[in-house]
Amino acid sequence: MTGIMWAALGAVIALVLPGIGSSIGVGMAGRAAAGVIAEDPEKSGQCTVLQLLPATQGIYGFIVAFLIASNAGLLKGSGASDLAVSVGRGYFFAALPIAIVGLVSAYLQSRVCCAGMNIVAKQGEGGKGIVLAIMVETYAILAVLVSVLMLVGVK
Amino acid sequence: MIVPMKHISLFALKADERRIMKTLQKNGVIQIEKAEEDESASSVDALANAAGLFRAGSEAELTEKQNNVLRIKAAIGRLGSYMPKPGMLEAPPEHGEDELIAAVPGALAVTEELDGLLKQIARAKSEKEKKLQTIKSLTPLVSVDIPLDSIRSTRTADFTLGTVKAEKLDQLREAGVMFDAFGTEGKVPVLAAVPKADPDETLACLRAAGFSEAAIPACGGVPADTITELRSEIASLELEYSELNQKVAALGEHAAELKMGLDGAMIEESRAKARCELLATRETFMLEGWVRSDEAEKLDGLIAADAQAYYLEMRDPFDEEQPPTYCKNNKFFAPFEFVTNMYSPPDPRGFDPTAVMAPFYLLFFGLMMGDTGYGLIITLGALLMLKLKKPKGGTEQVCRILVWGGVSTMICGLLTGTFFGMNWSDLFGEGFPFPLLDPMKDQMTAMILYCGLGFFQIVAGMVVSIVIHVTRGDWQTALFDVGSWLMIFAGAAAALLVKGPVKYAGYVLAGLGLLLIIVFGGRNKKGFGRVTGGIGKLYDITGFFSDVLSYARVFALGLATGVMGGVFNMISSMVHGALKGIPVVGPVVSFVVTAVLLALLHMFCIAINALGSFIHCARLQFIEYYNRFYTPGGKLFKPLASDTKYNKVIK
Repeated sequence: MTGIMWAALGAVIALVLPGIGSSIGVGMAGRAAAGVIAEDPEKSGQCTVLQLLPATQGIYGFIVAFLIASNAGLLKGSGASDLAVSVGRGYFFAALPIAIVGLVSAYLQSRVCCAGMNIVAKQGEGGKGIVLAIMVETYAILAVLVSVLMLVGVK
Repeated sequence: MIVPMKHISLFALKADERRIMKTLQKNGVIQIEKAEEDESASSVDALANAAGLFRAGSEAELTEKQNNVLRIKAAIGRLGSYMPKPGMLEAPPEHGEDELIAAVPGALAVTEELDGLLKQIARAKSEKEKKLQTIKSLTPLVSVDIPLDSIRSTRTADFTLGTVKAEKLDQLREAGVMFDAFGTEGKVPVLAAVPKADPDETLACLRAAGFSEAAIPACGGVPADTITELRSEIASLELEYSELNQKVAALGEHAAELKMGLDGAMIEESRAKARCELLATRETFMLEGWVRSDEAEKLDGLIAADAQAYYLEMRDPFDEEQPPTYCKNNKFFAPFEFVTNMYSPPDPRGFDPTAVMAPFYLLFFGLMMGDTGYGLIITLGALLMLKLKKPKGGTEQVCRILVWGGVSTMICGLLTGTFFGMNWSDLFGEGFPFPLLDPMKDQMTAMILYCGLGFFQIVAGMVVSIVIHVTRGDWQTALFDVGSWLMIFAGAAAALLVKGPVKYAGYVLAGLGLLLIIVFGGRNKKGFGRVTGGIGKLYDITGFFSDVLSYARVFALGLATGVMGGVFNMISSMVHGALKGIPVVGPVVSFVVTAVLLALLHMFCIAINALGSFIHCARLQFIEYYNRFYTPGGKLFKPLASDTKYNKVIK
């Protein structure tokens, strides 16, 4: 595989895996939200915030994918064919932390969000549920940190 | 600072009760507890009946007030789409309490009218349904040109009306069935005579021809005429229906009245509820509750003004009692109580951490956002919200926190961050002195800085703990459990960083701290536990490590904000570049599209990062900081007050 292929593969998995996780997560949370809103439309605000929390992993993945594509010269259209294999591989491995952790944490965060909807439904208060769900996100943030630092360091 | 509570028992004349309760609610000074004659709650009612005691308020009144709230709420819900929507940044209207309560009957009248209209609508709907059903059953018989009610049995035959397929008519004729057919095509309505003497044969022939008996509606008349008649009736019903709906929509005009009525009903409901907590005899009543010690005199004055005669007893809470918690802070710190309360309000006998937490909260919030442009937007947005929307309660507190959080973000953005996702050096050239530290380039320095700040906060928490324990006279905990660790940290720092005799003093200090932990760590345990307890305490060091490392999240969140903003800028500039090439309109279109795109993307970036920073920052306070000194478990002081939903109550 050439360097540019490695880099492209890295950008693709950085985007696709967290994207899958986030769409599953937002989907699950959306179903739970609809149930709560059907009972009481006034709670739609809090439910929407809870539903959107698992969306961030997909955005982190997108950012890493974009940075890889930009650094590797994929966006200029010329396709930097002279990209060294070691550099391309570096980009690929830099994508792994957010790709894997993003996928898993979006799914698990969504489950906390769905449980948080119960708090909204029963107590009419979403703050506590949001706090619980954000805790899961810690690891996605740490992963995006490592991914970005690694890909900045690739030489 | 936690304001101590006083327990009050008030005895006064029943004649003054309503007036006193009104004053108390207006001023929001006491939290009423259920007045009990006896310790055991269950026996009170029995005992009360025997002694001629009862509750001042009646359940019936409370139910009525609760129903008022529910009914008006339902009406507002039903009329929601017809009501003028308040603007995003519109402040709630302001009214006096009496004004709100006076609006209740009007609101109930509107509710009544709405209920009547809804009933009429339902009736019109069901009538229309019924008529449609009749038309449906008459439609196959439309070609029957005789009035249906003229079909009557004769002495020798019954008649049955139904439909048969046109091609089966001959079959019926051949079978010798006497019938009259109305039409020649498709499904033909057929009126058949069934001899009373021997119905079975005719019926069998009819069945064989696929005859299906029609359900004859009760209306009678010629079907075609009846259908025309019904159609016109339906048209007038539809007219009525739309008129009724217009009337319902017109009720939306009463939005302000209904909302005032709801707030008034809510005020009445909470007062009725409170009155059910009071014990009363025929002539007197007793109220029990809590009052802030700094408002005790005010309460006395209020009651003295309203009561002809009263006895007010105030005392400090007993040890076994759990008074509510009320924290009092100055204007700057007060909003941060929201953060503490998200975790748990402080124990009423504990320590209010707001003032020692707020500076750290602001610092770490700023570092996590870390973008001067975003800080500017947050501060301006929060100020605008406070100025125009005039929110109350939690929303107001969050806005006030964000005003200062934004300021902190602006400063931190200059020190370690970016400006709307752009590097300072890209904006002002390489010579620009800011940021002082670029976390993207000096990762290790940034990591050490953030964890160092975290360590500083943890040490601060330990110092607070020492102060709390010493003021309580518990010097043992202060010295052995907290001070000893500080000695180790200080000693180790001196030993590692300083040269000369101070280095050896450091060794001594650290050794002394270690010794204190080992010897006294297990002082509350018995026997062998005394020995192992102290050594076990040394394991706490792992807790310190993980707590300090937890501050790495500051690094991650700060970086995430900057990188996200930067990527959004790149995307926008690519869009700009692509659109600029369009002939003639290119410059304008690319400018407009890019401007809108930038605004949307950055708003989104601010929203999700502010939410994350707000909560992660709170978490650092709860877990890493409060762990060192905080006693949670209080219940917030909730005085009887005029709590409303749509209107602001002016005193």
